[in-house]
Amino acid sequence: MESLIVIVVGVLYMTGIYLLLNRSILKIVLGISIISQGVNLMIFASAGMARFNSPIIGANEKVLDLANAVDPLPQALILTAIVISFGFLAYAIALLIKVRNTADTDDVDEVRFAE
Amino acid sequence: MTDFLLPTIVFTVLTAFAPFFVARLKDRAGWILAIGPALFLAVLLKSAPGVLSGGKLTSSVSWISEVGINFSFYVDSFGLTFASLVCLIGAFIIIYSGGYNSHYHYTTRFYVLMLAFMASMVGVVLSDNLILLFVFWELTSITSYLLIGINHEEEANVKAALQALVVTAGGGLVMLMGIVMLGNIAGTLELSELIARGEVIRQHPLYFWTVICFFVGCLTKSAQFPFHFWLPNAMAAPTPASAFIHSATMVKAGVFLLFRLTPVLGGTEIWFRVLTSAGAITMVLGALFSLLRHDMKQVLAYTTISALGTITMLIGVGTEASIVAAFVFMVAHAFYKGSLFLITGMVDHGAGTRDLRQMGGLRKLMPITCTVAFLGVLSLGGMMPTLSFLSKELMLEAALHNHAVEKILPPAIVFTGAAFLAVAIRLFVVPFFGPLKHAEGAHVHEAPLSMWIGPGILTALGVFLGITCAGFGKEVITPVYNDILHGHGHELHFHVWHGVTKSFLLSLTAYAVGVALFFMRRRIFAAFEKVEGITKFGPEKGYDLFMGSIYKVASFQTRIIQTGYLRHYMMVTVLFALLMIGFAMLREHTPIPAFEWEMSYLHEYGIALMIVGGCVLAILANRKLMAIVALTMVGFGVGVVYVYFSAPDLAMTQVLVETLATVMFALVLAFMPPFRPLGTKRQRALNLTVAAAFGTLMSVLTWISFKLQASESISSFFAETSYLKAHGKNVVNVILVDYRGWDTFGEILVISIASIGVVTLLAHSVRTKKGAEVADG
Amino acid sequence: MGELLILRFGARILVPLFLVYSLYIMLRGHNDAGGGFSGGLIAATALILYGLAYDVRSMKNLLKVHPVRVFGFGLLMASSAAVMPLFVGSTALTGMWIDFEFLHTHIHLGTPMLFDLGVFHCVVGGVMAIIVTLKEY
Repeated sequence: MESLIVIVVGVLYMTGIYLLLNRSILKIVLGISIISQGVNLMIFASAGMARFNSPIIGANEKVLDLANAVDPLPQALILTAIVISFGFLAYAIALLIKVRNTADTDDVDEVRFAE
Repeated sequence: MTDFLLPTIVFTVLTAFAPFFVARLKDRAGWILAIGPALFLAVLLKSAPGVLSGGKLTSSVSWISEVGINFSFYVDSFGLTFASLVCLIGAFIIIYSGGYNSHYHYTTRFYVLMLAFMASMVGVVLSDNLILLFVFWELTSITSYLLIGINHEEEANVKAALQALVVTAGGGLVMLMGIVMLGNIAGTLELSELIARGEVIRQHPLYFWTVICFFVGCLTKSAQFPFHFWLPNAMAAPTPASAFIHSATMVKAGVFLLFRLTPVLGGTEIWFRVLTSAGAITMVLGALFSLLRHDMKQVLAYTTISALGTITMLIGVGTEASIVAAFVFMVAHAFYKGSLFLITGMVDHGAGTRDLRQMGGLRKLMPITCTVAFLGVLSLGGMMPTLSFLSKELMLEAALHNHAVEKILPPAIVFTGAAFLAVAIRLFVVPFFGPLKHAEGAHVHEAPLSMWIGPGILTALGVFLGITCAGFGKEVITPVYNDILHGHGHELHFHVWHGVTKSFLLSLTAYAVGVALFFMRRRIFAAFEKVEGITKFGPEKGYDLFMGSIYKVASFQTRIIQTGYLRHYMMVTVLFALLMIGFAMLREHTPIPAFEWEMSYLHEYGIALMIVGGCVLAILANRKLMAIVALTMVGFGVGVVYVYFSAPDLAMTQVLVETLATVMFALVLAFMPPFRPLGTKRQRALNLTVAAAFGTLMSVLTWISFKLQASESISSFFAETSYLKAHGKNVVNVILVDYRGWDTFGEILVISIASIGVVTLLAHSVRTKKGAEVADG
Repeated sequence: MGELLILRFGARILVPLFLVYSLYIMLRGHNDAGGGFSGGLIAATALILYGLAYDVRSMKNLLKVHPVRVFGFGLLMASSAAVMPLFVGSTALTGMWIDFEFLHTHIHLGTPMLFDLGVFHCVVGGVMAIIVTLKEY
């Protein structure tokens, strides 16, 4: 799966960047959403993609056995990142609506002259 | 120092509730709010006997002690005297403001800023650590900025406020450099320790630059030539603020620090030359301009500049006699100058004008103001037996007994004294005597008790301390002097009457010249009008040029760099990131493990295909529904990855967030116009190339992170302590709410801020925009 | 509005279930998959389902207060959990736990749970504020 994930991460980044470079404001928002998925997946992958147990301590144990469980740290990082990117996305969408209404266009090149 | 805890808390709480008091008590709120500073003063006075007899109060809390920054305070007799003055004058001015502000808009803001300023000023004079002092120092600049510009509807006020901020805070930043250098030279930032290391510091090669930095900081703050121009403009502030900040306290922070640094940096050639000349020039110029202005506040502003110049000059001379003279003058000045400003406010309040040419004969209608003003101008003119008379005598003595300055300074001091007397006579005689004159339509009335009590007591103190100077000198000035110079056991003796000495004869000369100047004033004004154009070429012109060039450079670089096309910025950002990461990898010779294809399960190909398919769909989408489908495919695909690779928390959150995001998009897309192809084919090809390059780079980095283990994972700590110490079995959750709690806290703040952003962006336009929205949606 | 009948009926039954489930997920978070984030998102999803089936007004009525207040309250809880340890001389956000027996049940309470409850409210309030605003627009 590792080699597959590498390619998926690359594709996510590529798509994200391509959409961010677009002139359509809606596509830019799509790009924001996709690139944050890529970032999350990359951080997730950095812990290794072996199929282990969840980072939850078993019923009769007192410590997490890292030899058999996934590294919990990247997961904690991503968990906050997911929610933050939702907030970010929401704000971007609000801006999109605002821009669309005040400048009356969905082309960021035209926004420049709309002032 | 624990005694100070209670007044500090009371002070803070009262300030926090200022809006409440102002709303309930209206004009009388000042009496309540003055309790804070009054209580602080009481505690200071309670500890005064111990401190004045040589005991020192210290308190230190470690802050960033690795680099020598501590939250440390230090109360010696000098700091104590200064802090007491701040609190005493502050309390009276807060009471005064109640009467003054009765017809004023921003009353609450004014009180809060004044009290905040007062707290910062006390911080400046009591802090031991220079960084802490710097923090308070800049806080005084900021509160002063806000107070000058409190009437922000008027452009002139805003400009004056900005000017004051740029000059004083800019000077403060230069001083910060000096502080850092001083800390490096001496190995400590505590003033109390620096005093003992003066020798080492003065020998050091960096001494020159250090002292220059401190000069810039202190001279800008104390409005010394050539930085003096901001102070007269700062008179745009409400009169009580001017009285407190721009006369009695903040502008004295500069000279305060010079006093403090005398044993550390003083006694050298450059110290003497710079301070003496800057001070003397300021003193004479200030005195000259005070003769020429007609607005009472402007007149007083220039005498303040002149007085600060006098103090700076005396510190520069640096002999024991001159330090004593400087301190006595500073105390005397604090008592009378603040009060005179307040009297100006009372006259303005009663007669409706501050222009000396438009008032007269107010004595009968404002008898109390007139009496208080008499006490004030007595001090301003340096008449016997006030404290300021004593200080003038000491000054002349100090100047006459120093060979380096005995030819130049005594005449300058005599001229300044004469000008002060002329101004004093003018400020007293013109408004209060002669035929009755006042502003059109003003209802002349006496000031209320809250307004005259403060100036009355302060000016009376100035006279009282002059009469009792023998005792005052023994009990207060002697220990302060010893603390400033870090000496021991010097006994100073003061008398009101010295006998007919050389300095007394010079004082008499000053009186005579002063009276003459007063009677010649019309001729002086006439002469000045002819040459007034010259004043345009003062240092303020330099400031204007400086600010103008900043604007020019800014607009130039904006024109060059900012194209206004979002995709240009994006492109530059991406290319730059690509370049920097590539460069770093090349320089470090990062080994790139050979890529090898591993066989995967069929369902894994399925997941990958779903995500990649979503990406392709997002790029190709030409209908809104397609975009939503694409986004959902990517999101849920990533969610499935989390499911398969043992991240239940992530999977749950991801799926939920994707659901919400889909709802959100669905809500919004209805309003959006259909997609249309934008940009040329070439543009798109270029974008795709750049994006592909970046994607490849990220793939390579991910691959490297799989194959290389650069350092030990820190997760074993979490794995071992999660249950035993943090009582949680879900390690991810324990990391979130316990180990890395602050991160999570910041994160929920982000969510809150984002939603506030959405609400404020859209909620207010609901009513206005909805019609248009429906029309084209 | 007949076509919404099934959705509305479903929402009526599902929303309370969702809300109870969200609390369960939030509370078990410390020991099993879940926590303030997932719990909060479930609760928000439930409310939004209700909002889609009916309208924004009834969704707001269900919440009783403005969503902004909900996350304000959440921030307050989280910060009090952060500040509490300062009073016993620990650094901010240190976990503090109390154990006691109540009606033969072992109860284990701590500031991290309060913190997680704050996170829960922040997520519910934040998401709701965003969706309500977008929906009303």
